[in-house]
Amino acid sequence: MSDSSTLRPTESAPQEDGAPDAHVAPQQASPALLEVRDLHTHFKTPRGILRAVDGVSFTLEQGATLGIAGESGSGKSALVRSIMDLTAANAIRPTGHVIFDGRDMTEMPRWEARHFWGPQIAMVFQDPMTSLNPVKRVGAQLTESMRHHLGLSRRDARSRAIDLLHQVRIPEPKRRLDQYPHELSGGMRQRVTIAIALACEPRLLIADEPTTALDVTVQKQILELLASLQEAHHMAMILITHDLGVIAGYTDRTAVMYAGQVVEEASTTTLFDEVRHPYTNALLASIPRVEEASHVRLEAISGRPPDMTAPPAACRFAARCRLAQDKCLTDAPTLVQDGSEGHRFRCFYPVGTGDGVNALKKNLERGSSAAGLPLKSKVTS
Amino acid sequence: MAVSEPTETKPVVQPATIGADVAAGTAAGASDIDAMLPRRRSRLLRFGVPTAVAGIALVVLGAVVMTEGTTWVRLSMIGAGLLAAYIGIDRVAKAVFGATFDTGLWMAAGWLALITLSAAFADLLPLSEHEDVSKTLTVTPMLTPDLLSSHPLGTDSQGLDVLGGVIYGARVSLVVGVGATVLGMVLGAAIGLVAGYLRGIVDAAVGLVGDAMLAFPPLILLLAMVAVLEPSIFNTTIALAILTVPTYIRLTRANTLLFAQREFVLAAKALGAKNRRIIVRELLPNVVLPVVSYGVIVVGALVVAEASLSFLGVGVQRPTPTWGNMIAAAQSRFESDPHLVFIPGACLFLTVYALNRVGESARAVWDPRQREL
Amino acid sequence: MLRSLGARLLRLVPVLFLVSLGTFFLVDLVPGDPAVAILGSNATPEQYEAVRAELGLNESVVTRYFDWLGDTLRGDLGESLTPPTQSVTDLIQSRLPVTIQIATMAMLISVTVSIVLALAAAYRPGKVFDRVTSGTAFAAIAVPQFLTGLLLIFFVLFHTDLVRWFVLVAGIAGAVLIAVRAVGGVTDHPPGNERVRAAAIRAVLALAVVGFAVLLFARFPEFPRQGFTRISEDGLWPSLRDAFLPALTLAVAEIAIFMRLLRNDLITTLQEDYILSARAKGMPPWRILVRDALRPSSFSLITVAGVALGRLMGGTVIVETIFNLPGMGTLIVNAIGAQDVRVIQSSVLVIAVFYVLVNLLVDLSYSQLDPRLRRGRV
Repeated sequence: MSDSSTLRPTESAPQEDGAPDAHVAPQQASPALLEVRDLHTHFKTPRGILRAVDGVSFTLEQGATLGIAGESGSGKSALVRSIMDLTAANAIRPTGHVIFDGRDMTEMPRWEARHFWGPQIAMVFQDPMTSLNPVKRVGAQLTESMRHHLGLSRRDARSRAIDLLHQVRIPEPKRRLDQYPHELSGGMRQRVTIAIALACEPRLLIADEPTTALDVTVQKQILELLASLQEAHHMAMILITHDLGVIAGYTDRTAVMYAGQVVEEASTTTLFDEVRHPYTNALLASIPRVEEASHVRLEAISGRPPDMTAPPAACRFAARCRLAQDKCLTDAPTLVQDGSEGHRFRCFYPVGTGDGVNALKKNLERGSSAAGLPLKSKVTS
Repeated sequence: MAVSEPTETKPVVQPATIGADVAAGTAAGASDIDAMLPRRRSRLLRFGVPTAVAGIALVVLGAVVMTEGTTWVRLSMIGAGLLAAYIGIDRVAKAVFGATFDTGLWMAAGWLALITLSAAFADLLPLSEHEDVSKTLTVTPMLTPDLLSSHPLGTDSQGLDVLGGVIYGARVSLVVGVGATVLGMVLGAAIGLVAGYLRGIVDAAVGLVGDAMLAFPPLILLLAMVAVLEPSIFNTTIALAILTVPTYIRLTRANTLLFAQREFVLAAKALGAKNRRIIVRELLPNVVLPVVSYGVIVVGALVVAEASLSFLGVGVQRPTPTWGNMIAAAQSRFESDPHLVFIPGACLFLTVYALNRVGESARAVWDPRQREL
Repeated sequence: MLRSLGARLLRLVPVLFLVSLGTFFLVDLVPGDPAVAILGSNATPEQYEAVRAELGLNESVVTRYFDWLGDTLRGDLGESLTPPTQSVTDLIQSRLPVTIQIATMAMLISVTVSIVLALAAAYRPGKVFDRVTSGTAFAAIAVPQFLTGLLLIFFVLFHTDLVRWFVLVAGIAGAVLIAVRAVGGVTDHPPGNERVRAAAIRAVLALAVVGFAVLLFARFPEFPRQGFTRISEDGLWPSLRDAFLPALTLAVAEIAIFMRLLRNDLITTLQEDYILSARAKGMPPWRILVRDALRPSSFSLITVAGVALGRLMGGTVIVETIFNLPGMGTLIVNAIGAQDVRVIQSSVLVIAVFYVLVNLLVDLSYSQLDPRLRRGRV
């Protein structure tokens, strides 16, 4: 890579509804591979403007893995699709900054950005049944980006394609090149999409729920494959999932999203050891645990996420939160940094702190949260 | 250098927009939302009313006042006036009835109403003679259109009134188009329902006959039928009805198959309902809407087919005027008097366009298979 | 592949049988005595009897049908019933090529033009170009073929100068538009050779548009109002020129139908995940549209093209009448006028069989486009 620190001074991103993110990024050559700064992605819908991604910031170091967790509809996919500029046609052009390797991609002309997709950033989609073109041979889909971006000859691209299929552990790679996607099994197809993503040696791989559509038995194989390829190719990775088990096993850092915002972000070990946000806590509580007795009820999170065409100006989780106080219904919490390294969360009464314990105690005493969520007086936490 | 290293290239500040919208969607959504705002509404009105008025004024000026002007100038004025009137009315309608108001659709429905009413009450209208040549011996032939005279759209080579011909022609077009559609629909739907419900040998036989009929190009089949029939309104209607039957069989059958496996049909069967009852009470009500909404488009196609037959001289014959035979008769003087072709032609076009427009909307609402698309 | 072809051919047998039955009994459907219908009411009894014998009306229906079928399969369609008496086979042999030529030209024009228009519209859906073409297409569908033909005659033949000037102005306007867009468009390419090449392509395109318009303006082809030159007579060019307006007449509505269909299918396809993955690979939008979206979007176009062929074969009746061309259409219309059932019967049969066979080819071309259908047909 040539010297690319021609970083233009970026005017400070517009701050929305008085909730500036307390995240100040260093302007100079940061070691970060990817920096997302105050990204907003809004969609036009018949009901109004839908704020799918509403001011998300994070950084990703070279070679590291970031997990993004959250319910469906929390904006995870919209977030990575805005990073890849793949949003649907009803999207309003995202605002904010996506800085890859010191270059602001949101300010690039499109032809230049296109040279990043593939050789720099690649993506693996959720459903391998639909993300491969049904009428094109595997070989053509695998080699086209190499030929386009790297200028390889047909023969070179083909031999590299065989090598790639070999890397993703597909038997008889040579024969596969001339097959069509419908002739392959689901797990095999996902391996092909991974091979396609790796074709131009990207430095960042984005995997958008890569295992959701697959059989349980195949899921682990694919995740292991991704992890080993990441190591072999020194890639950074963003792993999107709603499965906190996957997060725990395969990521370095984790961001938890709720209603278009990051509500908690920390290194994965920190996150699981010192949960701060009630939403993360609730997500963890809803995972079945082997060590718990089988009669213990799983705690589902009651209620639904807010309507993102008119999100509340207060805490977006307040309506479903066991800890919610009056303040949560009027003020919007900002993403604040806790003592331990880079642990940020968006809560007035964090779990595991004095404030949080008091808030829960108070709610349990009156039998409901400030938002009216009924609480059973079962003593937990 | 086939592929440039992205990091070597100089950053360009302004974002390029070419190909920004590869993925699809409709851009209409945005303006719909914006148009709900009251500020936008008053702007629509302020722009719409004068535009509509100016447009109508231009049409009147071109059509009625400037009778001495050059034809091209007058036609351009009328055209521009109609366009302006449409835009103006559209804005006003959107301001009054909301941004989703489909002005074009309502205008189409309006044209259909106008043509239907004038065809129905043609006998009551003060029209000049349009049919009997013996009564027009004193009338000047080939009069050019003059909206304020007793021959508003002029006369043809035999002194017959063009407006009268067009209106009585509409009667033929509508009677034949609607009649044949209804006839074909009833026949085809009945056969399709039974075939789709019973399946088996009945279905196979019906399918085979349908395939055989569809093996003929439609107009060819129609010509074969009229070849052996006396050219009359009734026979033309019958031939056109037969033409539509296989299409209706297919449509009804497909919809029947869609519903035949649904719970309410199975429940009726489990309760011991007879086949006839299931077909009439359970299937028919569900199949009828898509079939009828498709019918509107079929009427349009049959109006064209009837006009084509008349044009070829094998459909309804003179002296009964139809749009098709009026155009055919005017063909010989086409270069000098094109209006004799274009007036019935415009009626034909507007009617078919309006039917297509209304039919398309009907199908979007009522045809479950259409809606999935 | 061969097996599915065989199965299809087998399924065609009963259909073709019914088709032959239908055309055969056309003679019997003529109300009253066919002989009277043919000869009129003031012929001698001997003449009536001769016609009846010629039609075989005195024999049993079954023998009559199989005799007729045997003759037909041998290529002998008998003699025409009304004077001038001639071999129907020869008649059709001389007429069919004209109809096929016009239908083929119309099909080629409609497919090419509609694909280009649909791609351009789907490139930026909802924008001006898309809305104008979609609206125009919807209106064009409502114009009956004979009206299209008369409109073309009116402008191209009667007001040629108007069309010439229109072509010139439109050509210059188009070139200016290309040039204007090019200024913004080339920045979509990396600086250096690629940008120069992109600019050069656009310049050549603009020049080509202007050049074509000027050429057309200066040497506007003299389309005939009537008549037709066969390829075998004066070579290809005069024949193509003479068939152009009739073919264009037929093509207008088909362009509109194809274009609307393909545009909608393209837009549906562009929502697919595999288009997103192509974009995620950094492929340029035009390339995605043509290489990834076009083929999966063209299935319903193929189906409709098969049906359209039927409309074209029927439509030739109208354009042949308007332009007075010696094809199957005028043959049928004249035969109807002369009540020559034999000619009608044979012509209808030939057209139907031709139509069925072409539709078979269309069906088979599916599997070429969609690899999922190639093996193990469902």
